[in-house]
Amino acid sequence: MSDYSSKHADLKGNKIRQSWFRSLADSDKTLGWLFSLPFLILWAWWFLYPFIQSFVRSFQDANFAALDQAKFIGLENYVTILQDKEFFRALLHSLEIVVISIPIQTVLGLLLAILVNQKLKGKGIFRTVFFIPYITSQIAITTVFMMLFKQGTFLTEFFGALGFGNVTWFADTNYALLFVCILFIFQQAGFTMIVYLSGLQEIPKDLYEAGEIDGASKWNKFRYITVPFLKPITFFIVSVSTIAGFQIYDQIAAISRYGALGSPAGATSTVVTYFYQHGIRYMNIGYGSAAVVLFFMIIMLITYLQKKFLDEKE
Amino acid sequence: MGKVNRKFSAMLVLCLALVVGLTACGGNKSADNTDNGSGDAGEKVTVNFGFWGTAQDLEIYQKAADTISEQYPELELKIKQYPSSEQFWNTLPGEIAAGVAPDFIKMSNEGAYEYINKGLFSPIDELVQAAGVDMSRFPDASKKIWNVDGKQYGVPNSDMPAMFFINEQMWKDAGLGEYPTTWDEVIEAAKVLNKGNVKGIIVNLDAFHITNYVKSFGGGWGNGETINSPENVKALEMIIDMYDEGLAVTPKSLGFGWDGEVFSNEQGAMSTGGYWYKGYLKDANPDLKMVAIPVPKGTTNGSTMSSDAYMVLKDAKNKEAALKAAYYMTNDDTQTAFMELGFNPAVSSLSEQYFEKNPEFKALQPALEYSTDYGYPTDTKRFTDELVKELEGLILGGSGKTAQQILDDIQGQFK
Repeated sequence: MSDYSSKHADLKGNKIRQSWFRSLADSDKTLGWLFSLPFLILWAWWFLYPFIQSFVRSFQDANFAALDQAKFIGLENYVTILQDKEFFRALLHSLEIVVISIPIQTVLGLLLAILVNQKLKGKGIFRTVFFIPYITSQIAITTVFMMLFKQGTFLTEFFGALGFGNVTWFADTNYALLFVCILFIFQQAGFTMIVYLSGLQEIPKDLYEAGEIDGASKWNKFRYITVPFLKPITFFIVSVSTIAGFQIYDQIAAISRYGALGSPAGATSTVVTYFYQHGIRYMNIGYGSAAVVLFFMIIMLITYLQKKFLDEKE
Repeated sequence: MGKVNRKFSAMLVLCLALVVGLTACGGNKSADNTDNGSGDAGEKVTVNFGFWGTAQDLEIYQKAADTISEQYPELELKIKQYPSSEQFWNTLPGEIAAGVAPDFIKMSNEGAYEYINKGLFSPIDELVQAAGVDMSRFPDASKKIWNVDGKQYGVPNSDMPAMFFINEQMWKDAGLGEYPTTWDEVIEAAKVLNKGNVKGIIVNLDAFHITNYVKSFGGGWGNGETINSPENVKALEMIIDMYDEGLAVTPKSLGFGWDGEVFSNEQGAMSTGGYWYKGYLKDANPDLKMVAIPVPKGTTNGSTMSSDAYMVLKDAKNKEAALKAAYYMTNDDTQTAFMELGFNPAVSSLSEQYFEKNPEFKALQPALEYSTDYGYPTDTKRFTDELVKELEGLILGGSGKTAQQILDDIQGQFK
């Protein structure tokens, strides 16, 4: 090839590369991926890779401190877990936390959002006050609540008068889980309120005005305008809160301080504490990983069912 | 968006992604660059030490770190304090797995057996000579606690028997005379001391305390072989009876974390405990006067020996250097400073001064002879969790199980 033709070929190649880069940079799709890339890298590094590792470990007999000696044991971890009544007890507790807390905190959050969406004096202060528990350390909140729910305090005497036992709630096997639910509701209600508040502010005012012209009552406006408009928000809140409810840990760790996790007597054990105990505390990371994989599948299933249920209602 | 802006944004995002990616993927770089402990001539070997303890302990260790080069010029000591015992026990395996654990640690014998059996530590027998460690400074009884299957795992630091504490003022106000030597006497005293908000005895539903009860009846866990022995059943029955009679209280039901909190708040007159009460009460209730006596007899003299030692981790970068640093922690100055805090040094020559410096523990001297290791099964944490869960189930949850049923159930899991 002559000098001229080789130079010409180089120039042509450069032009092609330049135009390829230009079109790549100009494409919205590429730009979207590029913007997502930092998150995707971190997500893959911190979540995807550990999850794949957990999945692999779940088929191994692995000591946390001697991973090089891990042995493949097939489905043995899964079989053992599914035969362990403590796992099902923990799963039941996790479900109880979700079933008790989510409806209450969703309704409470909506009511608070409606309240602070009114033309009230000092509504900014209310919004802040209701949101503070969500951003406060769960250990700190739990410690304060533990002082409030000790036998002989005003609260336990008040509940005692209502038929509950005047006992230290977090030390009583009958009330400890309820105590965890109260803590969770207290924490999540502020978050729910803020999300609903953003949803309420998105609803067009003219819809309410049209409703008023048509003679709709306040209840009917709420039922036929507010609730349907907030449906995607409700789905988001229920999904996120369900996952948070399943993942609850700090509060239980604080209650169990100096004792066995899930104290008293396993009354507050959940799937997460079950994993932590077996995987980390007892160093049986293979077994713990199998619990995590099962837990992941359960959350996925529940989220899918929630979505299906809400879609069907639509 | 203009073309220039779009290109600029794209480049910016790409750069950010690369930086994030490199940061995430390059996480081990700094670890790789740290001292590999080869100890080449002229180079300092950095040894990392981890422990769980108080701010006063940290101060003593910091001083040791400052002076270690006087004895070992080639060593540099870095101290890491874990915020709580729970953090210490639960974080360590993860740190070992991640290759970021300290080179040596201070550990109590309450949980060491499990960690030794699971291979977290390195035996030191073959390193002793090379590191110039004089193990004859420590009594055989101390060394024995840290010897598993004929291999020495720890450089002993301190040994102290479990104790029984009495609120002196309450005892005197109740007009009670001699301090108890048997559980029968304790129960009689508890009946007198049980008044209003004050419970006669604090029985923390925790493996340490329960183990002291079973040892005083001649029992023990036998590393998992004798969990449901008749002696252990008898001890548990006595505890359950004390609860049934309303004489005993567990810290949890009062909203407290551990027995020392109940004792310092004067809501319980007596409790089993350890030398750590001294330091704790000094801060929590300096006016409270306590009496420390040996754990009362059930059928025999028996209690646990709380011991701690310095252990070299299996993945320590330079095991010999780690052992030298561990041995340095047992020097006379460091041990004397710990003695002031209530620790009984494992160094024989210093131990003789212990009861002069800590006269409040003088009554415990005979217990040094008969106190023994905890004897938990290899899966220590699983065992202690199970024991606590079963007892909480009965005392706080009314499970209705008998002592025999509880211990039989646990034994079934550890055979």
